[in-house]
Amino acid sequence: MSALYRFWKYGGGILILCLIATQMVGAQETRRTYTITGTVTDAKSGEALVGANVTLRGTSAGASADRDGKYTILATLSPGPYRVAHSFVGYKTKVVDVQLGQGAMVEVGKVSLEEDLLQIQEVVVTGTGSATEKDRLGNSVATLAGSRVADAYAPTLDAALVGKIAGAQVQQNSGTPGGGVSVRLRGTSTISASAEPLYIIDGVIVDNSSNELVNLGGYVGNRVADLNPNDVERIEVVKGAAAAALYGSRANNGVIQIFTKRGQLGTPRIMYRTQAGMGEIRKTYEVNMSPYDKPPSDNTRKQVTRTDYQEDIFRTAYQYENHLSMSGGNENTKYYVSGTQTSEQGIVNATDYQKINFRANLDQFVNSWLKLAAGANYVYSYTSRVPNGGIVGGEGVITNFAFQPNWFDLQPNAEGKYPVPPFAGFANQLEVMDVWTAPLRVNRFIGSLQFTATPLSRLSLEYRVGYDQYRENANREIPVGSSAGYLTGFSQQATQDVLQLNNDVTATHSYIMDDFGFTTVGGFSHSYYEGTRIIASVRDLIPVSTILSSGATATAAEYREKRVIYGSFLQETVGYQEKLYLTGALRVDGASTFGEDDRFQLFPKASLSYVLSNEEWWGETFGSALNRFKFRVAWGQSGGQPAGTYDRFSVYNQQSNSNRPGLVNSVLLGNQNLKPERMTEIEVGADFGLFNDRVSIEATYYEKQVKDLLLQRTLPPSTGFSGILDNVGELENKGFELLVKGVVWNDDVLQWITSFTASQNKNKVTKLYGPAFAAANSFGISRVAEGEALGFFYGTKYLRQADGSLLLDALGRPQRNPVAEKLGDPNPDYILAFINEFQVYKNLTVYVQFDGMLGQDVFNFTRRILETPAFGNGKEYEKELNGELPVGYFNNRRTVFEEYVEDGSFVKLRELSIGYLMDNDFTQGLGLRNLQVRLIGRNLFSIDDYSGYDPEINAAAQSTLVRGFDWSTVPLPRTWILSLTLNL
Amino acid sequence: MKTNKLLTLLCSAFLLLTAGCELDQLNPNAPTEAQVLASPEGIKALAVGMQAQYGEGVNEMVEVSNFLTRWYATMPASVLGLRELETGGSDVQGFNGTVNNMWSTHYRTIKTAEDLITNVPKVPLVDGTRSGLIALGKLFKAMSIGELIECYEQVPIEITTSLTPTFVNRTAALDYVISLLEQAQQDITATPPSADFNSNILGIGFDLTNTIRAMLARYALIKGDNDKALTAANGVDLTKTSSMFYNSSTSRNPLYLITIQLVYYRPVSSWRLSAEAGDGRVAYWVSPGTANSFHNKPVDDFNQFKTDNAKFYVYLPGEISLIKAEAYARKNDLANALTELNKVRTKTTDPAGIGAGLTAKTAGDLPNQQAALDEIFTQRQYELFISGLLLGDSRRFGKPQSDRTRNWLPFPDNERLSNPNTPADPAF
Repeated sequence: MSALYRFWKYGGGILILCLIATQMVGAQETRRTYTITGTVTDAKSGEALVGANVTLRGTSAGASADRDGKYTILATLSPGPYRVAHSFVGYKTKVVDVQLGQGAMVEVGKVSLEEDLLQIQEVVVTGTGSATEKDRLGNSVATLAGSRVADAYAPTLDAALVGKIAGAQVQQNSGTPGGGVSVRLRGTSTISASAEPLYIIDGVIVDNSSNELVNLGGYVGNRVADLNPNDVERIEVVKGAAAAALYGSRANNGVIQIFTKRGQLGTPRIMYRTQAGMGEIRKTYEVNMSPYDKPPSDNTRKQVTRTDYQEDIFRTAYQYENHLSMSGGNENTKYYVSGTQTSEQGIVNATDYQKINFRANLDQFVNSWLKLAAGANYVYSYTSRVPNGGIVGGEGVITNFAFQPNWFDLQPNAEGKYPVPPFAGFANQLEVMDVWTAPLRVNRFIGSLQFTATPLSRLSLEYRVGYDQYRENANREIPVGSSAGYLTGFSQQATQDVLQLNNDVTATHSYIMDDFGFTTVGGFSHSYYEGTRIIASVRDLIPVSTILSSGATATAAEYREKRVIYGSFLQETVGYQEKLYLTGALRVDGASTFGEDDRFQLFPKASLSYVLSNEEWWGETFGSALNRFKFRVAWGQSGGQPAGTYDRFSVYNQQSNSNRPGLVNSVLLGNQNLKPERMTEIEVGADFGLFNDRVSIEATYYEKQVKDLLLQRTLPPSTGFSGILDNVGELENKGFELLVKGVVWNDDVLQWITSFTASQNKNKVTKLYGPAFAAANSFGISRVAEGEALGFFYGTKYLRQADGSLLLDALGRPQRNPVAEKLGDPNPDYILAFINEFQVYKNLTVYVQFDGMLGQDVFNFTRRILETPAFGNGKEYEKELNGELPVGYFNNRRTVFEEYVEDGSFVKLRELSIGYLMDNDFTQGLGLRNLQVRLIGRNLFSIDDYSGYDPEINAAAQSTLVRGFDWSTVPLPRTWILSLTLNL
Repeated sequence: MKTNKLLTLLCSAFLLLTAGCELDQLNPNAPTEAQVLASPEGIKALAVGMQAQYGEGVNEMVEVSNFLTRWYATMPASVLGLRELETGGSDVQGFNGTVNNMWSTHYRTIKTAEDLITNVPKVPLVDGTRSGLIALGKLFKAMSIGELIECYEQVPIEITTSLTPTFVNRTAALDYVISLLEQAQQDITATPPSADFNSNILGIGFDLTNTIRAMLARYALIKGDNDKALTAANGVDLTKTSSMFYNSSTSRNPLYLITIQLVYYRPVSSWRLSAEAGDGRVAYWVSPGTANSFHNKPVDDFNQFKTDNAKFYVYLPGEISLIKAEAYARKNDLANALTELNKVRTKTTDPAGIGAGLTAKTAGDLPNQQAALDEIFTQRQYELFISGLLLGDSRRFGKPQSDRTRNWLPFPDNERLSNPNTPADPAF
């Protein structure tokens, strides 16, 4: 530890000394003040590109283009050759060489930029320390324009990412409004902790917990749902070890950084968007409509009337949203403000989601070398929920559609009292929807403040403070007299308070010497997390009222946590002739969650990018057929935090004796040597441009080895403990990612851009300290075992004959082989997306996105319960009732879990969007710049062989291990939305 | 740590908001080892908790003892683990629930007791509180190891030094138990426990002095040190009892939960039917039942622990007289043995409410050592029916193996899978 500690302690000081030293070297030369001017325009239209960014490479000097596209850079520099880079979002960067000599005035002239239709020349900042062109990176960073997020009209920001990022498995786990999305970047890299990536907004780490405050059967939303897709300017996704240098011990799951919109130069722009839509269930189960309750052989058989209770559960759900934003600014001050109000019904009765979102972003130059950027975001949401997904508990609405025989009349009597259904312990789903309530309220504020200083021409300093604070308040209220175990009523209130505070200081120094360019980035970060959870509940309520004080028997619990993480890093990038870039970085992290002796952890990384097409011989050899070729390789290590904040402590629990409070040690021994889960990743890739960048290809292969995985290791009971959380497991993810984009057609009439992404990931647990185990809340189906993928399905199969057909018993019923075996794997083999964008005459736009996952299995527990004779609501069971199949056929079949593991492969028409932009005399007459009408369809159809509602959902929500588990979970609705956007 | 001073300084120097600079965050949700073991209130609470921990597991010793000696029979189909004890032999394997629970609950008490013994001397405490706490720790450690060696042939006896404790044989463990009890006795003789200890730490109904002596007598007798057993037994005040405390909420009697509320098993009727006519203790322990067990044996109802706050006596006054009788008999002092034996046979009640009410035996009835020992064995069967001693008795009195479904328990799988020092399982 001491060496790391010394690095940590003195690294920053040494860095600053180095920077000052190089600055002094520069200062010894004769320096002059230059005024560099020029104009930036659009190559196609010739219009000025207002706000285009112009920088003098190797220095921190730069300027923005004004309303006329003109820019002026004032810089004090040594004479010599310099390169002026002109860039603008959505355009290809153009570099112009200038010679600074005797004259103080240097005119660059008119520089026209070409549209970058395939986003080839992007500048990214995530995981790189400072803004870096993609060409220089040794690792792949996926980027996504904000408009793609807002125009997806997805229920949440993260749900909008589905199919849009190669190598990301984005899965909306439930169709319930209010969130519930899992994101896996290059597979799952942990067993005991959350596998969700780290989310960052404008440099500030924000919380994305899935706080299961009250038990709704397994369903829980995640807090990225609070963010407003309309405010997104751009998203960067770092999937691999490249994130290590900046996020160290929290980077194992990758990083998603969201940049929000900021003001731009020019007159104030107002955007108003209103939308309304409707959603409906895409597919329902066929139910048992047999006129009899029992098979013909049963002499107690009687006639019954059956109902399809899905008709009482699902509805056409309406939604609307209003969004208003204004942005603008001058050279010194820029602003963006927005407000959004959202209302969305769920397709299950009694569920809905209301959200209000405000944002204000401000950029202010304090003087020529100091800039302030501030952002503030307030969110309030109110979600009405019902239990569903019976993975923990049997009160779900769809759960009871499966459990309660559909010949039983669930409708309330004249007094409004709901009958207690026949299957004990489970609820009357009509009552659950009509009477029980489970609202969730979230109040959240996210703020950031960033100072950027360029005190010296080659040095820029950045200080950022980020603040994320929210209160999530969940209730569960069941009035007295309710069915299903709540005869005396139940009221619960749970509150989660979270405060997250981040401080970052970063220094960037660039220096050019002959053919070499050096960029040094160093920084220090501090991150503080504070969480408090309080859960109180009462039973034995008085009639009518359901607040906490109306109950008699109360229980309460509280849990508090604080986490502190410090980090410092140093990164050096050396570039040679703009074709070869070598980056090396070290980060040291210290976290309160680690044992004292293992507190400081080192994470190194190194990467190489070789742009072969920048070699002089390339153009002669390959020409425009393969006009761009870059080879890259990156290696790095990162860490994963333990799930618990205080796992390093041995604690004592309450145990009273003789009515006196006493303590006994917990059965879990604290681990004083707890350290992060450590991932080592290597990725190799190549980026191509074909036919003068008309086709762009990115291909990456990666291997991730994760060791020191935290698992509960069994201790000999003779130690007085049962286990210890220890760094003992190992797993790996291997895969490739492919992104192909092409301009199929581009003329004045039609622009057609197509993109195809495919990724494959193979996950395998390579070392498990103890025996294989079943994941909690999976009914023993989802398992972890050495040599298998995480959460593979395990259970019993059919007895079969030699030819593979079922071995039936004497009565013709299937039989179970009691030996449990592997039944399937919920992890997809391939994730695919195929997107086509058309633009006709600049006015009509069509966007079509197909995406899907192939090769994954889904455990359909819903079907199992539907065809189980005791409940028998499924269409299949009719065959036993009408004598087509022998009595007991389904009773035998329900014990064979192999039967319910289905191929979950699907391809969905995820998005179909048709827009018409009007910017003519009519709109001008209305005082508008333009107007756009758009019709969007989401999840319109799915090509799959799955027998249930939807192969995409997961009853265990954002669980790390329990995936592909379909048990009465709300499917993703088919949605149609009509939107109108007015730009002023 | 020095690091933290620097960090705090950096925090205050650079950062706008300086909350949470400390890397050594304490756990606010539950007291930690450092907080409990180093503070007077923590260590006292630990002593309180240890007694509850022991009290929660008193059923296990009884179950092992009475199933293996064929006196209990399981009722519902679901209690597979207990049924394995009932049928015994190779049915009892390392995965058996009772085999694992008996082991782990006792070691949890031993761990707490060791924490007390090690840490009490370092905590500022009144002398009498310190001696009481240490003696209490030694007594509960001795009782726990003592019960384990009635069931397992080898056991670890020092556990906090390693995550894979080593095993010692039964003789060494027995010597260790006796030395712990002797030390405990010396500790409280040298410094009598304080009033604070007696009224705020020691469980209600628990008699520390007499329990130490009774346990010393019990384990000296098991070891075969008859003189030590006699001396210790003679020191026990037979007008006193010592029991574990239970209430109806936070600490309920496990015997009530299992035998009365859940009725996992019942005593076989043959125990009652083979008693000497007129033995008052039969009705103390059981009442005639009408049910049959899962394996179709006639069974009786339990007549003790019928409420969740019923006491459990850690030793019965009758056991002390029977220890004396056995020690005399083994020394071939049959006259004294007869005297002590008759105290048990003839008493109509005692402080625990047990009385056989039988006639006294004469010297002629017990003409030789074997006859005396046989009679003592029988008296122990009826006097100490639910005490967890019958398995050890059956072995010590040389009863045929057919009396038992197993002699020893196998070692728990949880131990074997994680501790390479675990010995091979006993054959039977």
